[in-house]
Amino acid sequence: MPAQPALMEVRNLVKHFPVRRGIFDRGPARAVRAVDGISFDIAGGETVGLVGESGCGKTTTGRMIMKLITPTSGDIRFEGASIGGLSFEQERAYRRSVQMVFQDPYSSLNPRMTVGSIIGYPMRIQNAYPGAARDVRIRELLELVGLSRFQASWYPHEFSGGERQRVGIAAALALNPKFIFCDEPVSSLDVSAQAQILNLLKDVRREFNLTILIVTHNLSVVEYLSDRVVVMYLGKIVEIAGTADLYRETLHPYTKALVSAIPTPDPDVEREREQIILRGEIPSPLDPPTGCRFHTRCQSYIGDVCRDVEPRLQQVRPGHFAACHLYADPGTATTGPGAARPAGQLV
Amino acid sequence: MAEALLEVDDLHTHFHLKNKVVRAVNGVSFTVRRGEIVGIAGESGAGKSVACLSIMRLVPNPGRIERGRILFTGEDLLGKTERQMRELRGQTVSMVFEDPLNSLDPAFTVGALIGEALILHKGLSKREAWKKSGELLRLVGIPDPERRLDNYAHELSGGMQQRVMIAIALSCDPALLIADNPTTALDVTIQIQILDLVKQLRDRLGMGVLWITHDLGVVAKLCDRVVIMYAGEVMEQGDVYGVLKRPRHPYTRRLIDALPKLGRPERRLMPIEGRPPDPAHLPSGCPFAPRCYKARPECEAHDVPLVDNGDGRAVRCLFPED
Repeated sequence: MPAQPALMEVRNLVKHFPVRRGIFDRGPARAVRAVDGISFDIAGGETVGLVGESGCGKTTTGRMIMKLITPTSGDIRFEGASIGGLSFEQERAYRRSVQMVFQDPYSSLNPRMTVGSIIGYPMRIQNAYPGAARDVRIRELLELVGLSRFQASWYPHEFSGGERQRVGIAAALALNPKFIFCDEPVSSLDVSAQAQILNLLKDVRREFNLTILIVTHNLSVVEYLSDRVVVMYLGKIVEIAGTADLYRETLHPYTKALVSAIPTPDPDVEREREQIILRGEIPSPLDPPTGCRFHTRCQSYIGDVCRDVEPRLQQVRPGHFAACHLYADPGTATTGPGAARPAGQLV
Repeated sequence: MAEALLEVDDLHTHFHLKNKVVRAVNGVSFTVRRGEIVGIAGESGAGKSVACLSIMRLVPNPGRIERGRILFTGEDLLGKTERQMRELRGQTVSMVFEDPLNSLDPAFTVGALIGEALILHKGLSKREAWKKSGELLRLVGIPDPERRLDNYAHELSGGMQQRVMIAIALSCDPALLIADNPTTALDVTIQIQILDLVKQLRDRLGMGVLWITHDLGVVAKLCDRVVIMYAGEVMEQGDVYGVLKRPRHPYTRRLIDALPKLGRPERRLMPIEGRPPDPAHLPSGCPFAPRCYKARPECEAHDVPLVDNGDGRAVRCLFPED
C-alpha cells in the first residue's frame, strides 16, 4: 500500500439492483448483484484503474463514489468521512471536490449550450468565480485543455470528438476538484484523438496533483495511465496490484486471460505470448456461480474448492492481492461455507 | 500463392449531396486470395465500410460507384444485374455487420433466421434447414444449439448474437466473408473467441475473409495481410508483419505510435496532430500531407501513386520510410 493516506476508501461495498417481477411471476424476488462486497483504497495523488468486462460492476462502483446511486450496503469514505451521512453543506463541498469525465463526448454535452456555458455551469451551480472572474476562468480552462480561448462561444457540434472530450475535461476541472472519476474516457474516440486525451489526462494529473479513478475495459489504456489496477469480475475484485506487477507477474487466471486477449499491434508480441482463450460467456450477475465466480470459465480450475468455496482477496506479494485458491495458504485462506475444510486436501 | 478471389481495382464511390460531392472511396485497389484473411484498417471516415458495401453493391443512396472494377472469381460484379447480385449475396459472398442486435430481425427465431438463407439459396426443406441451422450454431461454438434455435435475438448475449450472425453468413459455405467491425461491441475475452473461430473456419473451409477494423491489434492477431486506408485511399498494404513492424508510410507509422502498447507505459504517446480532411473538400495530392512530418511541397502538387515494389508491399508516398 502506498505511504500516502487514502483519499477514498471503499469498504464492503454492495449494490444489488432488484429485478421487477411480472404479475404472474411468483418466484422469489431476484436482484442483479452488480457489486457484491468490494474494498479498496485510492491514495491522494494516485491514479487507479478499475478494469473488467461488461457487467463486472466497475461503472456501478464509480457511480456510487459519485453519489449518483446509493449503495445497498457498505461504506465509501472520502478524506476519512463517510459520504453517506453528509450534511447539506458537506455534500455541496463533496460534489465540488469530486468530478466526472463521461464516456461519450457526443451525448454528454448539451447541444444547445455554448462550450463556454457548459464549462461555466458547474461554477454557476457552486457560486464559484463570480462575475468577470468566471469568463477569465473559462478561457483559462479552454487553453489548459488545448483549445483556443475564442472557442468559448462555439457549440459542441463545431468540435470533433476529441475536442469535445477536452471540453468535458475542462468542465470537470472547473471547480479545482481533488478527485476525478473517468468513465471510459477514450473508448468512443479514434486512435489519434485517444492519444491526445490520454496525454492530456496525464498532464493535468501532474499539474494539479489529481487523484483519478479510471474505469475502462482497455488494459493498454490502464497501463498507460494508472499507478495501480483493480480487476473486477462479476461484482467481485479478483486482483489488485501495482501496474507493472499486474502485467509482469499476473496472478489471477482471469487477469491472465484478460491480458492475453488484448490485441496489441506488435506481431512479435502476438506470436510469442501465451494465448488463453476462455470457454463460454460471462455468467449472469442475476445468478452468479457459487464459490469462485470465475470457476465456470477458469483455465486453472483445481477442483471442488473452486466451485464450493469463495476465495478471499489476500496479499500474495507485498502490495499484490489476488482472490484465488491457487495462492491460498492452506488452513487460513478459506472463508464461506466450506471454511472448515483445508483447501489443500480438496481435489 | 493461391488464386485471387476478389480483386478490387481503382474503385471510386462518391455520395452526391445537394451542394457537394463526398468522395468516400477514391481509387482503392486490393486483392483477397482464397484462404487469406485481409484486414482493412483505418480511422473512422477512412472509407473502409463504404468500400466493402461497394463490393456487395449495397451502397445506400445518394452514393454511387463512379469508377473501377470489382472482380470476384474473375467476374465483374459491377456488370451484374440486381437479380444476379441477389443470387451472390449471402450465398457465395456474405457479410457480417458491426451491430448484431440491429442486424438480426427481432420478429424471427434464430432458427428461422439461419434457415431462411438455406431454404432460399440451397433449396432445403424446412426440416432440413432446421437441422442444418443447429449444426451451424454448433460450428460457431454456441453451447446447446438445438435449444437456441427457438430463441429470439434479444434473448442472446452480444457474443452469442455475433456468433449467430457468423452462422448466418456461413450458412451457404461462402467463398468470401466480409466482416465490418464485428467485434467492436464485444468484450476482449469474447472477441478473442470470435477471432479464433474465424481463423479455424478459414483453415477448415478455405474461404477468403475481408475484415474491417479500426484496431491494429486485431489486425496483428487475425490477419495475413493488411490494407491501411486514409481519406478514401489506400496508404499502404502488405503482409501484416512487415506493415506493423516496419511501416513505410508516415501515416501507418503515426497510427502505430499513437497507440498505447502493453509493457511500455513509460513511452509517451505520439498523437497525430490535426484532423482528417473533409471528404467533400479533399486536398490535392496526398491527403495525409497536411498532417505529415515528412511532407514537402511536391506532396501536395499532384496525386501520389500507390507504388508496388514487387514483394507484395505497396506504399502511396513520395518519401517512404525504409
